[in-house]
Amino acid sequence: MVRQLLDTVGIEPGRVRCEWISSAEGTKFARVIAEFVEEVKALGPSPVVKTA
Amino acid sequence: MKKFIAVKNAKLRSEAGGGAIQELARAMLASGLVDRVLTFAKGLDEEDLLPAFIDKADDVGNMALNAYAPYSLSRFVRDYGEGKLAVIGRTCDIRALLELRKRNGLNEADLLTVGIACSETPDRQNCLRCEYRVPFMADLSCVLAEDGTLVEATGDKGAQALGTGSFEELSPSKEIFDAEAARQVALAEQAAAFELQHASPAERLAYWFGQFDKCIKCFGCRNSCPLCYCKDCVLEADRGLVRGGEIAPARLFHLTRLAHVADSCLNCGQCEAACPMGIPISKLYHMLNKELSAVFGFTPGINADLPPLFGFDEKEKSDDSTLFGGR
Amino acid sequence: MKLVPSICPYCGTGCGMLLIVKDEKVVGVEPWERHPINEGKLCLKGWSAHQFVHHPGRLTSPLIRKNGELVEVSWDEALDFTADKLKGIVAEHGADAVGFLASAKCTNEENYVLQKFCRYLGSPNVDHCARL
Repeated sequence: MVRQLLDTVGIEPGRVRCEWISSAEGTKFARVIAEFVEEVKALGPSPVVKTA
Repeated sequence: MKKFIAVKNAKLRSEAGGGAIQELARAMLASGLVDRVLTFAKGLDEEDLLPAFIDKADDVGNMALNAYAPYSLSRFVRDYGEGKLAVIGRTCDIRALLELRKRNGLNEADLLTVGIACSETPDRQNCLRCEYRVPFMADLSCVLAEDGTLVEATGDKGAQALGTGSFEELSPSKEIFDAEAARQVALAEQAAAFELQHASPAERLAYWFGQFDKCIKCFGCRNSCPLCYCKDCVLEADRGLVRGGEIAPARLFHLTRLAHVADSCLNCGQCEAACPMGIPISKLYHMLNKELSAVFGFTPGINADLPPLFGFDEKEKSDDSTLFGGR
Repeated sequence: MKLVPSICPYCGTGCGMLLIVKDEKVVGVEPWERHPINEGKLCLKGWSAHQFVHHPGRLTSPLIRKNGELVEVSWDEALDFTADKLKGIVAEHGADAVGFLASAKCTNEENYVLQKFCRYLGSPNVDHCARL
């Protein structure tokens, strides 16, 4: 729903991600965070900052 | 069962809908079926329409039917509705009552709803894209015609209310049904054709943030919303997102409210009507609501279905992959 | 519950509002669509205008400080007291030593009278809260 909301006002929905990671899944946590950081970097600076 | 009715009294009969709604209100009050009727009544002059509680059967002549005024009756039911109450309102009023009821904002047993279909669409953006003109979710669903009222009782409550009045049942001419059906189709087409949004994300962002930046934070959209029922508003309470007692920055204010209300927005347009800065808030909510309806399969205010995120499925409770399962 | 048409008391714009009156008490505010000034819109102050009406902190009678404590007095006593003091100050220090603060909550006529009174005393010191 948050992704849809952001898309409606024109912010890339890819900037939000929801994952279930157990406290036992350290490697998964590291992998997801690394992936997500790359994704957001690829999207570039937030468009919100540009309009400010 | 649809009936086409009018009153026997010749004088009243010249009123819109053959005077049937006035007679209904009078009869419900006179018979003690309800203590009060909430509807629109004439204020200082003919065009000044205000919500009013009518508690005497003699006062029904002041009722103003089928005219647009930007007040939400459901908010008055929520805040001041006591005792046995009948609400005679537009489809959006009835839909809002239905949604409030789901959220325990109202006492169901004491409320009787009489919906009147909007015959003309007022020149308001939200009305132009309205898809629910006929109040089929009300206890009594009425469509006003020139010399009579098409009425349908959707349950026992509605039938009982209709039974209190003395009406003359007319045999409606085929033209009346045809004209009504044609109007229905025309308005549905108008709603479907309403252009929601076709801009690129960058244009959308510039447009909406430009609109948000106009906000003077009067809280009018919150105050006028028929669905805002929280005693402790998310925009004022200390819930981490916005610090309690502080006013959120304009963009956060609107995104927070959007996230909080959009799943149940009825497109009634009260927020937009109250906005001193002319921000098309209702359009934004409606847009998001349409998309969320497609995702969750929930349309607010048309039936008894609960809104999304309102509870747990049994499946969710036992599912190991969710936060609450697997313990 | 009934709706009573009124004018917002907060500033000189004069927006129309409907006071929601329940059991002889003002409990809420609704913007008044039919009013030509605001056409059904209100600002934050207007939306909250009902809150001060029955607020326990609201002054309901004039107060004069006697022996370090504020005491409720009648309007006659308060006006006599003020007139005496004003006359005394003007006589002793001249009219320049007094000033007058008008208010956006008053009508134009009331503010005109205040300004006139100030000139009559010979003081140029008139100001008001809307000059922010």
